[in-house]
Amino acid sequence: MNIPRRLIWGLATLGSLLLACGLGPFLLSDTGDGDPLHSALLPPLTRVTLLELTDGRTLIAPKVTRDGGVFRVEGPKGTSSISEDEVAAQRETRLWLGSDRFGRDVLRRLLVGGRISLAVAALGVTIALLVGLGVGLAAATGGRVADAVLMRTVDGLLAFPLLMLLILLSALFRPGPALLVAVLGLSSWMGLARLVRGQVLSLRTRSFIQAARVAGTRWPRMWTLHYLPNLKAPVAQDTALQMGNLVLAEATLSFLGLGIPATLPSWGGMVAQGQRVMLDGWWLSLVPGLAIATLVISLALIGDGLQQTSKASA
Amino acid sequence: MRRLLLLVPLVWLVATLTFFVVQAAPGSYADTIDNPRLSAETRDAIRARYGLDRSAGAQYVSWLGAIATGDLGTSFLYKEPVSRVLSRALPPTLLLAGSGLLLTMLLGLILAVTAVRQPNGWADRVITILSLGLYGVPSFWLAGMLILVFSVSLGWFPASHMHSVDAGRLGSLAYLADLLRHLFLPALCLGLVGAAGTARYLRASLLDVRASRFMLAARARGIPNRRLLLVHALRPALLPVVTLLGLSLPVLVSGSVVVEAIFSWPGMGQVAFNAARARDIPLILGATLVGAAAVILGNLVADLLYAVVDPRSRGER
Repeated sequence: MNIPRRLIWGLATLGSLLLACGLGPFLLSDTGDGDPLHSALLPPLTRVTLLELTDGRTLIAPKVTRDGGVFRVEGPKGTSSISEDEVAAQRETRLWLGSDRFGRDVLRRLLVGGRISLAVAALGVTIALLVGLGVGLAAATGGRVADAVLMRTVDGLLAFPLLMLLILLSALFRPGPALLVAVLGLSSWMGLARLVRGQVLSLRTRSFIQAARVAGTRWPRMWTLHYLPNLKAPVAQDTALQMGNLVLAEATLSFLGLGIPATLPSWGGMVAQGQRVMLDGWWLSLVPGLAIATLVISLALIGDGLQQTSKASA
Repeated sequence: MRRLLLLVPLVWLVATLTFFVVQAAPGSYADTIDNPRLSAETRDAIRARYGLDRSAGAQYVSWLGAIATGDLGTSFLYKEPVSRVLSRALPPTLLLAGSGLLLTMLLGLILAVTAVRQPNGWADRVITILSLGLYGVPSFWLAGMLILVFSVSLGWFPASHMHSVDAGRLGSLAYLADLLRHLFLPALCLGLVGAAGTARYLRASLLDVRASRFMLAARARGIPNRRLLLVHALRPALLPVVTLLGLSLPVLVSGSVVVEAIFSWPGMGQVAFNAARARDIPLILGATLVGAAAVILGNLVADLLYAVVDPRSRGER
């Protein structure tokens, strides 16, 4: 089979993001929490010296000189001295993407925040997928009344702008990460439900399904062998696009301060914080924004690619 | 007409649902007032003053009774009739979202038509990458970047609000120019994000139409390429875009919360956002009613436009 280029690019990009966010934080040297005095607003690629202190803290600063038994730690906002006895180890490292105004390593926060963004979107879309599949199948097979009730409900819910609904709900309930996943999932299953129902109804009129029915195929075999394999492609494609929407929705909520709590790193929240100091550090809002875009684009490419494969095989 | 009547209970259902969701949320308006010196008794008094100490059912009945007489109630937050708050916020939102939608359609149309002139040519490739990029970019980030480039670095356009501080003293022409300068960046932001989706949609449907037999027939009749694309192919290809247009009307009225927030645009999105945060029940419900009405109108407009674009759908109704 000929695999579309878009699918390959999308999967490769998504895979690299997953790999980077999953493994990255283990491979980078642990720069600790940073501090505003010594490491605030350092531009990308800055070389820093990392001091591991005996009390377990880590210090990073662009310039560290040793003067007798005392370390002089010079940062952009001030200098301090630390006695030699307090320093356990000294290493050189780089802040590849600079630091924010609290002196924290941006790359590290980006990767950890990526885990949260990816997890929230993936779990949210799983909920949407399960509810959408359930409602869609129930509407398609449950008889006329169930179909009418379910589909009118879907119409009604779809009429609400998604983001408006999400903002209203999160402003009212102030959800933590778990509730946020539920809110995202429960507000985005409608499209999938409609798709599944339509697919099942159109499959039912196809001759191979009718032939199977005439042959007396029982329903477990009917579903596993005939319906579900043919539902796979359109559902997978819609799920990929929907996940992209959820990534954007979560980022928007976090940007507005309604999503992931500010104590955890999140891409949307990082853009919001970066925009407050846009003139002192252009990279602070640019980098997480590009990360969001990369993730959404990779999911869109996967969706497009899956559509091309299903078109080609149809 | 029958469909219009059917939508009245739908609006009622949406409003009722919203009412009980807001009721189910923890806290009430009295708890959101940010004043540590407020004693518990005062908060109770505020609750009683706004009728929040009654049961949810009693509040619902009295709200529904008022609605029946056309009274949307008084906003807790703005201490003004809800109708006045909404009618003040609606025009800015219509202006911003309307220009955004216009830009969306215009840019989307230009991009898509340019792209399919030569599928997989260099223009198509550039446009595909561009629209994919814009599609993935979050609007709040794009807004920040536009401000950084056009307001901060170049200083061409103001970064926030609808008028300059001294707009009241300007002549009518200067006043309009001032308004347009303020409108430019938020509208561009909405337009760029929307155009990416529209262009992607329209390009795909144009390509589908190009492959159809009537296009081959038209080509065989010797109709020039330009006319072929702009007249013959564009009309059927616009169908999905028309649906998109109808669906975007609710957003037009409810406002883009994000863009309005970043550019401090005094519209419906801001009002709804503030209302939700302050648990301002009358205002939340008022905004919801306006939004629901917009949904209905949007569906209607889409149907009407459908009939214009697709003659086949005229006979069915």
